Amino acid sequence: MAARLARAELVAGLAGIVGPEHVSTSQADLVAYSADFWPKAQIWKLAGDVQRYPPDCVVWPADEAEIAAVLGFCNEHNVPVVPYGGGSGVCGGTVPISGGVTVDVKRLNQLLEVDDASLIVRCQAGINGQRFEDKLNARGLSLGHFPSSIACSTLGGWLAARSGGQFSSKYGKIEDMVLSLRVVFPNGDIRDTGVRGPGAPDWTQLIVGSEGTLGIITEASLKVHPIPNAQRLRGYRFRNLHDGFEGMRAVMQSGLRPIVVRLYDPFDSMLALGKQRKVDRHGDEATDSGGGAVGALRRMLSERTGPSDASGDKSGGGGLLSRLSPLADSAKRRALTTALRAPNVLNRLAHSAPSPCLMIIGFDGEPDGVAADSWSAGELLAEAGGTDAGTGPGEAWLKHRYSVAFKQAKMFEMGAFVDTMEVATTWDRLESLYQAVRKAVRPHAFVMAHFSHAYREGCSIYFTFAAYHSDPLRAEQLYDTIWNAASEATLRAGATLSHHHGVGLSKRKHMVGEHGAMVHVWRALKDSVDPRGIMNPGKLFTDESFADPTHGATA
Amino acid sequence: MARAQSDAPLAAYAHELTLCAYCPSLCRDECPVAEADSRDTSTPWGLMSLADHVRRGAIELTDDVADAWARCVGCGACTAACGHDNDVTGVLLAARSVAVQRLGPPSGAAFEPPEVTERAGRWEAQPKFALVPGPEVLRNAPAAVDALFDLCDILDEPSLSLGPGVELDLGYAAWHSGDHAQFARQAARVHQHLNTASRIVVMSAEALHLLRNVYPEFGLRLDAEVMHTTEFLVPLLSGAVVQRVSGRVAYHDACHLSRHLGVYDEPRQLLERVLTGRLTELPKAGDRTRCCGGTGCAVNRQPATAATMASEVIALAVDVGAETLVSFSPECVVSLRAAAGDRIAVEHGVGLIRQAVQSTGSET
Amino acid sequence: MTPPTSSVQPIGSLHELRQIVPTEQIEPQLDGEQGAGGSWALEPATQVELVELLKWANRRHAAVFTRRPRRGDAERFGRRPRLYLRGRRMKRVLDLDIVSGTITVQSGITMAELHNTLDERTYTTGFPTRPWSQEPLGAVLAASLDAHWGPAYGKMESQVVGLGVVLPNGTAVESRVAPRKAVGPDFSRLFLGSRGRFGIVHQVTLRIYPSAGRIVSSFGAPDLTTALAAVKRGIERGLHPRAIEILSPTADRSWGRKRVGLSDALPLLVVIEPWGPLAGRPLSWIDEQFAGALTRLTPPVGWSVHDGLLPPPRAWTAPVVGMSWAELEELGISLGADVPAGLWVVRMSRQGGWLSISDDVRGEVADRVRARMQQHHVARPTPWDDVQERLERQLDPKGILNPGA
Repeated sequence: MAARLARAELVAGLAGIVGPEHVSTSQADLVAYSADFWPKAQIWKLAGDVQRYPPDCVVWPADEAEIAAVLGFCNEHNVPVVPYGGGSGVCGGTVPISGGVTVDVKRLNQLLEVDDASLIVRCQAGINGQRFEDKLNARGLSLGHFPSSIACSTLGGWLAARSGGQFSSKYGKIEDMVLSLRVVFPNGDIRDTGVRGPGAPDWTQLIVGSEGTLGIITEASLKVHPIPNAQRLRGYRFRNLHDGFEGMRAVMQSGLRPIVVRLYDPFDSMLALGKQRKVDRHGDEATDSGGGAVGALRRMLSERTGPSDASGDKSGGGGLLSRLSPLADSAKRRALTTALRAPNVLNRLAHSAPSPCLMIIGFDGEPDGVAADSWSAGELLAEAGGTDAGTGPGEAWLKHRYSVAFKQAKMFEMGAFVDTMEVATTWDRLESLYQAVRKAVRPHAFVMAHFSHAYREGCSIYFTFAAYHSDPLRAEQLYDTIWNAASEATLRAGATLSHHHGVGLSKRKHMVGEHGAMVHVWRALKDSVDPRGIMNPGKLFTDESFADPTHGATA
Repeated sequence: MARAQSDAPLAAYAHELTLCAYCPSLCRDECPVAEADSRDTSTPWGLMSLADHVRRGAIELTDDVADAWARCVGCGACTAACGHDNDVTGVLLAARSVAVQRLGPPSGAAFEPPEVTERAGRWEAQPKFALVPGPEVLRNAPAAVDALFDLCDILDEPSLSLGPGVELDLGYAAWHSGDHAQFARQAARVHQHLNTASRIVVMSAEALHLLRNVYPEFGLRLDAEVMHTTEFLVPLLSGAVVQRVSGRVAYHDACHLSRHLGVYDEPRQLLERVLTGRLTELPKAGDRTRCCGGTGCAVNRQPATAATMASEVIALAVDVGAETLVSFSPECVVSLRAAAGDRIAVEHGVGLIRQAVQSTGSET
Repeated sequence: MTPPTSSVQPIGSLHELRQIVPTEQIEPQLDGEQGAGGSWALEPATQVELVELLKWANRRHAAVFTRRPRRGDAERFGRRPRLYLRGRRMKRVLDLDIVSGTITVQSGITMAELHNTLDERTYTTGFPTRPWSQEPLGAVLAASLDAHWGPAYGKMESQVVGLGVVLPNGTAVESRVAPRKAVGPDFSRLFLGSRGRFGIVHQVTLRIYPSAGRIVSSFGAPDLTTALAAVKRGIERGLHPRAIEILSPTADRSWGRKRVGLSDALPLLVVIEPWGPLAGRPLSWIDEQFAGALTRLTPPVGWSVHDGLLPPPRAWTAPVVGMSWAELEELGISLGADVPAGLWVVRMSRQGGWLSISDDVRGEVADRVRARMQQHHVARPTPWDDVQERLERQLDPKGILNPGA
């Protein structure tokens, strides 16, 4: 690659396109755009390294034409480009590891067209997720896409990383909702994937998930739904995970279309049941047998903190302040960090507790249909050994479903780190996948899981792991060890490494294992639309992914 | 990595700063500034992270960091959305104050109050029942003052009056920017004038917040009963004969009035009293109201962002089918009116009430 | 004139091909002797054979086709050896996973064979079988023959959860089977609908569904607008059927029209095929939803609407275009009370459906329909042509696979 432009020339060139007020090299902006919510970047931050990979500059183009001009300019001068939406990714997908220009598309935030007759909307990619849903709600519509990050992510980011929402069992992931896209390629060409000639592949699905490595998505047409008139969630308890799986599978394969089915493993069930659960002997035993450490962990992770739920009701945060007194914090911190130093013991303690597995299942639609479907599902779940736990767990989950991420900050505050891994596979491999990943992570981190995003042919497993090391450098190594162990176990079990978080930097070195020779197809795609390799270099695949030396990295 | 010395004054906020810095920005959609200027730097996460980095000495406190902190309008929407009820507004105010101490006060034109002439004869040298309209009213919405005095005339409230203190700047800009030495001087002057009154009616929500919440923090508690226009009008209007106004009217809660002062009900009571139909609620109302950019010095410091913020609120009102958007905060009215164009009418609540009461007065 | 025999074919190439595929699976083509390169139809049986054939083709700069030979191929490709691949020996069922509800088959299996295999175990793929029953699955997917957009099954392409492909350079690639993924773009989509330009699909993993007995509810509608309104309301009330179709019989099917119960007052047939007892709603519920707006018909048991009212699908040569619901409604309004014969709206979802009108139908009303369909015609060159060409050059630098497609 030719020598980079001097920063002044770069900024001048970009300012000529977007206006000087929409280009920034200020320290404040470069720090903010130097990382996303990749937990590893949080570990860097814990260690005081707050801008390991700053971009050379950040631009905020106003429209598609400006994006095309920016890309054309960067392409001409071989400047790396990192497309940026909400920066809410947890895999490092928008970390500018090669510097260059971060192109924040959030000024493209208009809902362009609502076709009420066809239930199709056209919207710009930079729109904030919750704002998008709000705008649809104002028209009596809903996208049906509710990722935990809905408050801080954008439509473009969803599409770029194949986002999945909590109601994916019925409404699908974002790739199931999107009908077509507009995308700007590095040479400045603007293409619409909705124009599919005879003999053409479905370009929508070849762009969705490309994580900014092919071009910048500027707008999308999506299916929407009328806001359902009824919604009903219910909890079921299963003696063990296996019965729970069978129940889930029976429901999904019966043709019923629940919005959500979630099954928690025993420890996660304790958290999920939380206060909604009657204080039964299992719960008590769990706390007792778990001792102070497990108790602390359970209290830590189960704190119900009610964020922006639609009703605006924040009663869930009631007991919070009292718990946050500095004294309590320091005691909790000691207990937790001590426990996390011996993850094997902690895992054994936590999982030795006999606890039922909780399942939450929900339906929406017309009231009569919802009632009928709930009844049918109940029959199937009872057949699989489930016992009805009433509406409490479901409603509690619904109310607090976005709050899990609030817990993360508290873990980091204690100097520990926490990450999640969402793998997926077909039903026949699900249980062995669960065991394999747990076994691989157990020596290094505390690990728990739930099974969400169920489909007819399989399901995703959402592992949460927490670990601690007092030395930041060793913490980073520990983080890598955990991920390597978990990723290899996942691939060996025949599962896919990501259901909806994407690849970014965190999983890229396992992409050859994931895709095998299919990486050649990616290389060909990449070279066809981005021959100079300016688009989000180093993401999705590492340069070492390609044996052919002529296909070396360009950025 | 080179480390500057960590910042002692911010150390007191370590807990709050850490909660935000390691949170994946879960209040992102609620922050009206970041939504309007599209910058992640302007989000509560972005600004609090910068403060945390400064606290830990990971970055220098520079002018552009201070400029970023000044983008927060202090609306408090983030705290309302936060699972930890984290006081972002308060911490950022402290951060700005640190910046002023370190880097000097921010540039920006000092407020020059307009000349106040006597209105409707309501002027006293030392009013016992004082009206404090707030600088924005005097500058851009003096009609609201006239309307209020008209109402007083009609509803037989003779004592409310302007006085020599009213033209004074209450110090909001200095306080908000973190220049607390300047604010303290300003506030002391205002306090001296107002402390002679036994009751005070405040029109500006910003001003009311200062007088009720901030002045006492600076040791300047007023002996007088301080009330908002709406709190003043509710009992006054209770016995009035009104000719209800028709049309689909929506109410915009001012951030200071609703979130910071908890005044939700009085404005609604007043409007329900004078409207033929039900008051239309915006999807963002009460303590979830969305800031229209009228406060936080946004209009002066970041006019384009403020205009976008106002436009967003107008869009909310248009989406619910409102024909008129009403606020009882003069700052909000000015900001919303500028953005409304011909999409929707924007009224000060007092003006609307005046209409209802006036027509009654002329007929009965 | 010399009779065409294998002795005329270049011996060297044939010898090499015999190392890859058994001799009896190599059939010399009649036009092979005209050029020096040779021309053979081959029937590989495994992925390994395919890989070796493509590697051989790269070495010999041969042209490999996944279609039947065409007149003119010999002139076009001159001295290049030509291989015409057939899928007859690639029909194995590799895995029938009842637990996960997937089937993995070789791509040469015909739709009829696939469905017979599944029928025995009371499963179905959800694909419409009849029009392409004798076509191999690989061909149907490569040509994206239906661009399916139905409510219960979605697009045909989205029913593919795994694919095995051999790239033009002989690299075998296989996608990991998972219900959903977020590990980059769905690369396997490149091979669906692209007519074999980018690789040869040899193995497919599909979702399978329990096959409920086919039950069809039929209603008569006075015009398109009424029919659309009824279907829309049904979907909004929670109807999630396998298939919804709206059609009017062609003129030569007047006997069928009468048998079904259609008349001049009720020229349109609305067909609702429910999903089974649990998903969707029972028949009585469907009746209840539609009886208000439409008229219940009782066609004879076993009646095939396609054979009885329309020309058989294989004889249907008219274009079929996807239309949004709004466009269908506009069409309904523009037609008013007029309903042309041979109108066909199929695979309807709440977003829209696929519209066609029989070629035989003439007249002003039919032309109005055609004019609207014409608006959806994608003109050549399409905006993606150049990208596809670049991609083809990347994957197939020597132009081996289906050249000149």
